[in-house]
Amino acid sequence: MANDHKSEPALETRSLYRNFGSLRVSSNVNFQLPIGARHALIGPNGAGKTTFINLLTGSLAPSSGKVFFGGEDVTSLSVHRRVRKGISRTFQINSLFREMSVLENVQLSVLERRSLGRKLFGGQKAQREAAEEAYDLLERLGMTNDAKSPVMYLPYGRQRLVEIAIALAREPKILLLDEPAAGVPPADSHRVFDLIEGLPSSISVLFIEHDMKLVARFARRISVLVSGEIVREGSPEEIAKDPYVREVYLGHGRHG
Amino acid sequence: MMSVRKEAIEKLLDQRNFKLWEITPWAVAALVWLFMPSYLPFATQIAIMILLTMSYDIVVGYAGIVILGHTAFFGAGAYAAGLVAVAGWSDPIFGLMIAAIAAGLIGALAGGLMLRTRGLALVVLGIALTLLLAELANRFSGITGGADGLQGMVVAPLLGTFSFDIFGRVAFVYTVIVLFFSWLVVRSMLIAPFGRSLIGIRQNPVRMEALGVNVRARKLAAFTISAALAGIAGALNAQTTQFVSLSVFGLELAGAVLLILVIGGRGRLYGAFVGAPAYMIVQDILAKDDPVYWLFWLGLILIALVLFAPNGLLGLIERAADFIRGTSNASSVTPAAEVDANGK
Repeated sequence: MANDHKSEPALETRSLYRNFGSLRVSSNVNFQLPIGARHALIGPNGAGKTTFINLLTGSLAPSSGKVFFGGEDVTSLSVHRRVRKGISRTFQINSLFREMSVLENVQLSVLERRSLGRKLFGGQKAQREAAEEAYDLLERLGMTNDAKSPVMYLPYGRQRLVEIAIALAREPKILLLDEPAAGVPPADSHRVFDLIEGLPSSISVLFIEHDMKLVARFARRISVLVSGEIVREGSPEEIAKDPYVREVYLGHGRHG
Repeated sequence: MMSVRKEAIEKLLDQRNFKLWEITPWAVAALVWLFMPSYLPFATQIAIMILLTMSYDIVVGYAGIVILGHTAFFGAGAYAAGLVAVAGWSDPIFGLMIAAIAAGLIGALAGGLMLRTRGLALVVLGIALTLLLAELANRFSGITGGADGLQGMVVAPLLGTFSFDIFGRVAFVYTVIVLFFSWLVVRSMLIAPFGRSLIGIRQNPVRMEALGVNVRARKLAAFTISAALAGIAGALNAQTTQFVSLSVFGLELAGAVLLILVIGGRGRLYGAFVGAPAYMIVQDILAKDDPVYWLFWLGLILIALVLFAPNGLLGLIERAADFIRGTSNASSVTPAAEVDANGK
């Protein structure tokens, strides 16, 4: 049985439902994210993709059904508890500490991962060590030129990278990327792509994406969400060929 | 390569370092002591308001919890210190500790409930708490003296040696020393990871939660500490005037603290040190020159300040300093204005 635990998916949902009044936004979602996955979630606008992410992170409670991380039931855990279980996310619209420098954004994340953010007094050593780790992470991501700049002075596309950086600073096991390239000008988007491509394989990645190029480039599996239901799941080739998917998603997508 | 890394890290940690100008308030206090002996009682009142406003800034300016009615804790501290003195425990330091504990406890209990709400509901709950405590003090007049105020308060000599004198010399030194140590504590708290995380919570609570922070618990910790400090300010007020009246719970005082913080500049630690003297001295001068209509002039000054200095006097000073240094955009990012400008 101990071995069984190893093979548990990083993330799993069972019969997940979520209603807003009479509106059903998630319907019987049975989803598995294997360890080390590169999985994309696609679907037309209003399909319930962000709702699904919110159910996974705990921002929303399901009407029924369960969420598991590595086989452990986390359905009743709050957002911050689930984060400490190893899930990290980025937001569809940048959600950063705008007045702080890029370095401090990442440093704050490192401090919280080490449970040092509660430290009332002192903490100089802790802050220095966290800043060093934060800087090293920025270096690996090729972002050190922006380290000292307050986030709000950066162009939107570079702020997108900070989103990913502070999520990574938590050293997550599961990473949810909510439209990581949204709002990034094409000239800068390769930086986001490169960053995602370089993520270590120990992290299981689920990303929501409209950009089919990005989906095709990274995803090994794709789930298609329509009206709160996962209607298809398969390899990028299978999904691209599927007539139903072409009808509901690609047919009405942003581009053909 | 190494030096770029070091420089970036040192710049971030430089927020912790003492700057020379930070001795200004203490130099001013020394000057007042030396050259303005007749102003000591007034200066003592200013120092108490600085402490109260500083405690309020932790909650409103740093953590971004907008409440009105911080006087609930100020009043609780004043009555706690007054009552223990009346009961015979007249040592001032002991009174301060009792006041801090009493106000901190009320803060922890009230905060546990209040911080479940936000916005308007939170403002109303703060006012309600103040009214509630004021009415309790009024109702149990056998203990508190009710509307007549708490009578018969005797404060023992400070450290058993220095009696509180009629010129307010000991009261002034005592208050300034308590303010100094409170400032040291608050300052080291705000530069520590805890304080920086409060700023994170103000700027983006959702992201903070997504970093694994129990935002409500951390807000409650800040709220409790702030309440205890406000209680110490209340105790100082009671001890230095040797009297406590129901006005310590007044909404007028609550409003004044809010104005002082806005005038000085919120989320800056030193906003209280600039705002309280500015407000109280202007009020003093206006009330002397025009005892009937002085509020009109105060109103006019406030409108000008809010319109032209949204970050308070300290924000103006920072802008001037940046201008002189020739760094128009880099160093001082202004919390209030930026949040407003980017609120969309």
